[in-house]
Amino acid sequence: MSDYLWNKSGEPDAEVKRLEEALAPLRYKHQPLRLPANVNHKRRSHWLPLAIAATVVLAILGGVGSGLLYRNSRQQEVEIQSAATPNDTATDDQKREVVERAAHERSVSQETSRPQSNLSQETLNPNRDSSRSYRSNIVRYAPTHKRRESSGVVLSAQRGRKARTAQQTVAADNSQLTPQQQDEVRDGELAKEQLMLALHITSRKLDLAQRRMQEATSQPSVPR
Amino acid sequence: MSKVEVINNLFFTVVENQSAAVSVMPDHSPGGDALVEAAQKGDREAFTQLYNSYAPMVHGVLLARVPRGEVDDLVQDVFLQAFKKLHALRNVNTFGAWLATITRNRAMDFHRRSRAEEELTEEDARRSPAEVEANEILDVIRRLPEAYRETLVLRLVEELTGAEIAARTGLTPSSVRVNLHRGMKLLREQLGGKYE
Repeated sequence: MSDYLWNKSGEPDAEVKRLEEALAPLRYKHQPLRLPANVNHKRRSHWLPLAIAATVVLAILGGVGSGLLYRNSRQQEVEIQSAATPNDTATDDQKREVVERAAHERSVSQETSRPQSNLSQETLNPNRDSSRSYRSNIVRYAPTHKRRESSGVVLSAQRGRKARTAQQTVAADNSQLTPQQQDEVRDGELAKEQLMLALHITSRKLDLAQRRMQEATSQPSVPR
Repeated sequence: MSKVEVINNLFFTVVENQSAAVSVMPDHSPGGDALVEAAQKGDREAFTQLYNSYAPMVHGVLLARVPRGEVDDLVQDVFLQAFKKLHALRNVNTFGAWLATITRNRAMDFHRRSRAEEELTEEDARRSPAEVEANEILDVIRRLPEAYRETLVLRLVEELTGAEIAARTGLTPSSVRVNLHRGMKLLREQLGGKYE
């Protein structure tokens, strides 16, 4: 490229020179800048980043809160189940004895080549029907201090309501679902309930943040 | 032909086929940063100096896109808009590129709300032969790819040097050089040797 096209130095390129001359009538002619006396600067809203940050924090808190609530409800479910099972009254020593006996029986069953699954089910919970699935026979024990707490069926009104809801949901499907599926349905219902609560809280907080932002932006901007 | 030559040829073919060079760099026009900072604080005098310095660039960018009769008013619009939004500019080094973007957006906005083009034909009748010729060349330039047309208008109409174009628009000097070279080549072809 010729220097003339780049920086108008050196020997002029005839064609470029002619084009410059031909285009001269279109060249910028200086005109004074016309700025109105009162120009309102569009100020950046300080509420917007604040509102976004608040929403994120609230969403995280909502998530953590719902997680805790879910854990509590699971704990409560275990308590209810253990309260309804005769084995609940077993002491730690008795439980250990059952587990040891189960291990012993399993080793015997291997020797006599009996089906392992049936034996273990019967050993773990002989009161139950062996035709039911393995999972349904597992008795989940709550921590000792929790069991003591709930041994006299001293549940709060809220806990009782949640438990009844969960039990009703499961009872409605009892006739059609396997015990494993019932467990899953119950878990799902509880998780859904907690998620809806968390979403509700987050939604309310977001509404509040948006309302505050709108109030802030509706105020007249101040000229600099 | 050796493998190296083949690869080199392929590489240069790809580079040549690129539509336009559009790398952007900070604007380092002398004293510009201080003026921009002062204007951000509401100093109208500083903003007027920026206007004097950048108005030809804004004029050229608009001329490459909108009807000539609208350009002067749009230049004022662009600077008014820039003055209102100047506080939002975080990096004062990029004032030129920022202003060029506002200008291009304003031109697009103009076309969205485009007025009837019949007015232009009436204006044509009143123009001198020199102005008619200038408009004919401008029409040819406007049919070129966007990056070439903008750079060529800034060089041939506004008579900015390549370095000035780079400084005002925020493009790298090498991009401007490439756009000028390729744009001029295309323009020569379009004009068919009329100005040789």
